[in-house]
Amino acid sequence: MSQFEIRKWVRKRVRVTFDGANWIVNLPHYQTVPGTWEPVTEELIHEDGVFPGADMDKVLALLPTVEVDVPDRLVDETTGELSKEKVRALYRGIPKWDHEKVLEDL
Amino acid sequence: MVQESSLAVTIVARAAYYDRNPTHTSITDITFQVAPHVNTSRGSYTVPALRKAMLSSGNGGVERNTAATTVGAFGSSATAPTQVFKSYSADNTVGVKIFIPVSSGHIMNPGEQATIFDEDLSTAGTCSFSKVLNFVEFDA
Repeated sequence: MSQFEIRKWVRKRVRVTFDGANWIVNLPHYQTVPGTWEPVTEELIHEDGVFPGADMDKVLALLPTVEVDVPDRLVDETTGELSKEKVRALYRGIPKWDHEKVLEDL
Repeated sequence: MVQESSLAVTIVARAAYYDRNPTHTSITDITFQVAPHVNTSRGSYTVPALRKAMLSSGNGGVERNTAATTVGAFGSSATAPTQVFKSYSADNTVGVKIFIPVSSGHIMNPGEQATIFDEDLSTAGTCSFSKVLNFVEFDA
């Protein structure tokens, strides 16, 4: 099987981060699962995102997470966990994804 | 006098993109009756090293399900990495909807990232969002 083929998607819960304009997940390839944001917190976070006008510092302090589906080409076949080695191999030479600390903020 | 040219041109036949180990993938998100939220990524795709990708099809849509007390801009969008579509409204009428198809053929280079987003900056009320981008990935 080629390292580029995708045969299945694997569900994981990961950290959501704020890039200055948008809430994102720091992965090269993913789809979020609707209704899975946590922790649901009044006036800050609901099950699908962050309320407009919410205090960003308070939201970030809650370390919000969401479930995502990721392609198996980013996942270790044995452990079922996200694989730093597979991500680095797939994106060899691309600075954003080929470095020692990739995936560490998830 | 005849001067010989030293310029040599080699022509190498190369398979079309769809014959260079093509694989298919997509990023998709469809959500119903979502409360207001700031701009949020619902999926992302990055072209691997030594590969390219063609955006083969896609679409984006939004529909208001329940009225807001104070309406703000709401909609969905996608970048790949430049803007692919943006379907937005500030209409508070229940049932108002926007649907935008995406033209195909946009080529992405290794490391370039596509992302789908949605947001609703209203107070109260709910909307439904859909975003789909399909890609053919192939050897660069």
